[in-house]
Amino acid sequence: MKKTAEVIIIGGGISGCTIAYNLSKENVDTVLVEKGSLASGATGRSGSMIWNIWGTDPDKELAKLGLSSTRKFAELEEELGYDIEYTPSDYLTIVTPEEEEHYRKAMAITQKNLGLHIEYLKPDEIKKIAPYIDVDNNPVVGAYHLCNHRINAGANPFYTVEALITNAKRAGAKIYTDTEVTDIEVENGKIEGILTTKGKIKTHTVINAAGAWSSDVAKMAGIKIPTMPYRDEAFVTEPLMHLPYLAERGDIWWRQEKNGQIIAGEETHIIRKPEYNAAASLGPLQRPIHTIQQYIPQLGNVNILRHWGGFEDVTPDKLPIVGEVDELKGLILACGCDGFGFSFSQAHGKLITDLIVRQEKSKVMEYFNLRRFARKYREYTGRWYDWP
Amino acid sequence: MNTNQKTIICFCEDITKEEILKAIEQGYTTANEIKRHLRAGMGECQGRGCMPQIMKLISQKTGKPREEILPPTDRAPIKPVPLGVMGKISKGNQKGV
Ligand SMILES: Cc1cc2nc3c(=O)[nH]c(=O)nc-3n(C[C@H](O)[C@H](O)[C@H](O)COP(=O)(O)OP(=O)(O)OC[C@H]3O[C@@H](n4cnc5c(N)ncnc54)[C@H](O)[C@@H]3O)c2cc1C
Ligand code: FES
Repeated sequence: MKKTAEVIIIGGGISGCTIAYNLSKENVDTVLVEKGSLASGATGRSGSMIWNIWGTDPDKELAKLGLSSTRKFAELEEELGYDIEYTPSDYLTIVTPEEEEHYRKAMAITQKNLGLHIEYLKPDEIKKIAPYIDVDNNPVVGAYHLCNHRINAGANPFYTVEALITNAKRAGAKIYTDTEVTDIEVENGKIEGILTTKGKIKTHTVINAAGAWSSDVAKMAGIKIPTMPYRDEAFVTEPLMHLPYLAERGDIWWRQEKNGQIIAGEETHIIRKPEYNAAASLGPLQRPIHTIQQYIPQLGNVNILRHWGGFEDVTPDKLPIVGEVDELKGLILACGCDGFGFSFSQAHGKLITDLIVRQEKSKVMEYFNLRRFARKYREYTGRWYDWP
Repeated sequence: MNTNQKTIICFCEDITKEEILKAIEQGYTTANEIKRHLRAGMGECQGRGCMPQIMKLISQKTGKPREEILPPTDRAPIKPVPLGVMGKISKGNQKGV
């Protein structure tokens, strides 16, 4: 094991691996430490949809960050020289009468914020482009259709992480898997190094990309951050013929993988009790299953092969935490990614690299800084969800 | 025997013995890692057809005794279940288990 490093990244999910790639590409002496195997956290368990939270979240900075990330994803295969099973797909948001008003407002904001054109389809038009969606027997008033922007897609999370890490290693990064970080050494308000199950490494800069474990890792450096593990589940079916749309109905999402399998789940909204038990259960899956069967009845006969659980990292205002910690320079956060950390990873990677390599503190990064949770800043983002 | 012929180990996902041996050489030395790296064992039979063979190859290649090679994590529903049937099961079980 290396004895010193300029930067140590804790966590080998999509966030940590993207940062490792970007830093090592700029000749930063980088080490990444992962307690299990790469992508064994939320990343390998995700739906790996690359999307923006179209129309559902009005936060402008978040939408812009998402857009820049999804655009970077579109170039990733070429940049990394790797097939990550990137599959661009048009996006369809099916709208019921109760939601019509909400979506009209939200979509207008999204269009304005991002300068994208989102088409509104009437039921007949939905039938024309996606005849398998049952609009006759469901309360469908229309659908928002986002196409031709190369920003909605899916990718294989394992291949993506592998591609990033292969490139990072080539640029000199050292990756230690099956190695758990057990402590962060702080002396006189400065980080001095980390302790792991395989030895000690000296450094002055630690990046916390530990996903659902981010608050435990921050605590090792004596810093309290308001992130919580939050369980989510998904399932995958046997391969099917091509269904050309990524879609969502309410908070249920589904996408088709490159090999034809359909992967689906539910967006997280309600704050549940934090727990680290990853065993899958039938309960959380009933809504996705029923919704999909209701809107695409033919899928009732399709086999489900696997379902599983994973942990997301959620903050009180459901926005990520990116950037330096005021009280402890040298501790950099890249966490709180909620249910969209795969999509946003490429933007986070760039922000953190700009910070470390060019000491650039962009407005976006200040917006997502941890300090917004200090009492006096609570109104900063204007959002504060119910927090247990 | 024609040695140019490929030996398929995972029929569902069409993965050859060569691919598996290469993956082990690259450092994917557990059944879980091979599964995630190659999709071997993620097909319709959920690895019933190929996993025993893959675990044997890992053991041969790494020199670890066969008993020490752990199978990949089992994922429900173990055998493929139609979505419609699964929906009925979960309806009768609103709280979830
Ligand atoms: C079911 C499900 C579906 C999802 N679908 C989508 C989707 O479609 N699109 C999308 O954008 N996002 C989706 N997400 C969210 C997405 O998966 C996460 O936001 C993203 O993967 C977070 O990446 P990460 O690298 O921050 O965290 P993780 O992937 O969780 O990585 C953190 C890593 O840190 C390691 N670690 C923790 N503590 C230590 C320690 N002390 N020492 C060393 N290593 C440590 C962990 O082992 C883990 O591998 C989904 C999540 C789930 C659970
Ligand atoms: S033979 Fe490998 S999954 Fe079926």
